[in-house]
Amino acid sequence: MVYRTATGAGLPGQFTIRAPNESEPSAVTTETKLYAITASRLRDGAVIYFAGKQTWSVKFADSAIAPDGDALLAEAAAGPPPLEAVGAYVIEVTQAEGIIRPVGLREEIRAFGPTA
Amino acid sequence: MYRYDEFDRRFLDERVAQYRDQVRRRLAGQLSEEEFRPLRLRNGLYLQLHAYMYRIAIPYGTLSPAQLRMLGHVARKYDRGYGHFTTRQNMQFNWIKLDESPDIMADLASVEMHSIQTSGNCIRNTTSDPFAGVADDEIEDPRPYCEIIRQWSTLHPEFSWLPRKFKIAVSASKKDRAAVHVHDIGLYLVRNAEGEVGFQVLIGGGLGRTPIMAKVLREFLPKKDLLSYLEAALRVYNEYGRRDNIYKARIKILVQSLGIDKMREAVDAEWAKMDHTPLDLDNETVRAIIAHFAPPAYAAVGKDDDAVFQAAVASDRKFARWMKYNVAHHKQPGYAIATVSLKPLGTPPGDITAEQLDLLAELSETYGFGEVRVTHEQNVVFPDVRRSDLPAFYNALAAAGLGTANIGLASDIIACPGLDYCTLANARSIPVAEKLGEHLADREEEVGPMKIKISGCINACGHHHVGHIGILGVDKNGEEFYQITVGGSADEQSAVGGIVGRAVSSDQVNDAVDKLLDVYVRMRCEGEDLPATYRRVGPEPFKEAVYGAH
Repeated sequence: MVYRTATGAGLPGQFTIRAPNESEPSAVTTETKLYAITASRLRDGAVIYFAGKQTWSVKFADSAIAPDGDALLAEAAAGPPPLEAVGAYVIEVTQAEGIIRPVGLREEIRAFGPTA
Repeated sequence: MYRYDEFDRRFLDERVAQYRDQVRRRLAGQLSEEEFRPLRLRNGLYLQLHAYMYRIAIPYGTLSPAQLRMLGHVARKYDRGYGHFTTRQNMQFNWIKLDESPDIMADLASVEMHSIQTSGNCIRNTTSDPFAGVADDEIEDPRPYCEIIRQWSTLHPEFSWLPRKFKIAVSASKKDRAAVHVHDIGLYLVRNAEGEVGFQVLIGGGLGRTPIMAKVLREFLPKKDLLSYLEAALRVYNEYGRRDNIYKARIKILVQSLGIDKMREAVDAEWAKMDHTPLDLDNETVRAIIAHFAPPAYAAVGKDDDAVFQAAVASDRKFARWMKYNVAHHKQPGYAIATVSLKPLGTPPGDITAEQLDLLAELSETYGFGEVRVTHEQNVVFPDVRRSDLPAFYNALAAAGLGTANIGLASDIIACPGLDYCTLANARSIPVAEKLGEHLADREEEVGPMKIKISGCINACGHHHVGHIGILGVDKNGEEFYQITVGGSADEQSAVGGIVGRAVSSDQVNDAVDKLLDVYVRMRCEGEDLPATYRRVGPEPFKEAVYGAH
């Protein structure tokens, strides 16, 4: 599938939206709904994000994002056991002025840690 | 304290080995998550928002110095240096790794602790009065009966897959410090007309989505029949409790649908056809258990004891305040019950660091007989402190940030972990508790005794339904709001609070609570707590204060 990867360091941070093998950022309108895949890491329960090509990252910034969340989830779920990711699910993300964030407080807390 | 026997030790060692192998197979891909999940939950390991959460059972809340130090060790080695005491008198660690969890279980086993039956649809940790054995209004020490229930219910083959979890509490004082009415089964030690001590048995209490106060199933149960009668009640629940709907599976729903009279008939019928003999508590067995809870060797009151203590009260205002709120009367002359507040202002309720756990262990040896109790209100009780030692004890606590004098006041807030940690939560609890505690600190002495309880979702781990003021986090289109109740109570006058009105935003919580407290302070009669005022004046003044005339 064609997915896009959010790149950038630090959260919340600046992101560019790239399709694989793209050298330049592609245009994604603010109206386009985008999704990422998150899960818990088997070994330690850490929050992880699907980064594409059967890889997962603890950084939200490394998330593969795409308009088709279900397809992204199917791709993330593929792989021989033991899957590194436990309980993978689709989350919506938003993009505004180049910054991408998870939608909803629950996912913000998962991405950035406890608030207290 | 009760000490493990050979059976307990062997069983735990076997469980550690089994669990270690289960984890190994899971990590090797030989077990799927679906297969592994019930195994880890049976051993108290949950998967939460940021990591695995490990819930450790603290039977009826009692801890020895070695156990306190072990919890400190777990916090230091396997977590982030702190743990969290829960409303079930247990401890939770929020940053645990799966591959290290068998080592934690082995470490805990070395001090006679485990995490078994802290999850799953089984009989959970039996809770009790944190003042058990030292309260001056107690009929008899309830801990031996908690221990008997623990031994009976641990790995009980018939009750390992109940319709839902099952919680039992035991208390023996007129003053209920164990929230007995909100348990699946609540037991009060009582004396009958003939002067015999037995149990009043309550059934069908619980909070969560459908808060219900327990009803009396049996006014007086002889002690020897405790286990057979519990077994009969559990059998009825196991057979007739709903399994088709998780929200209707607790025994409270069964009792509600049958009615208490029919429930009683069903339990009595089951009890009548059972062979009680294997479960009858004979005197010898009970005496052997009671021996583990024998009173310590109290010292005689010294002639200067009171002078030491009075001088400290007169010269140290902070100590005097701590004495007023954190110290309770002990049945033994010359001794006091001291409660250590785990609610310093601006910190998560119930959290404790590894260093503080170590300190409590040391203090329990220096200023007690090597025992502390965790309370369901997320504090820690030192049951046997000599009154003459109280100033030194307080100074040691205060130096470690544990000298907060607020027990039973507005800033002594119960709160669940909420959305900061829990997968079930809809809203945060900890930041709300922190801000509210700080906000109310200046007026809490004026307000007096006050129970504020906060839950991050309807599962009500923060007991919000029975708070004098209860705060429930709800999600409205992705935003946190808080529904406020007033007039609830978890003591012997148990009651579910009434909803004040529409939920408020997190920014409005402090103001709304202030207004509720204003009404209470203005309208209370001498000696009335907030639930009593609420019962007398009704909900309208409270609603009007928060939402205006309507």
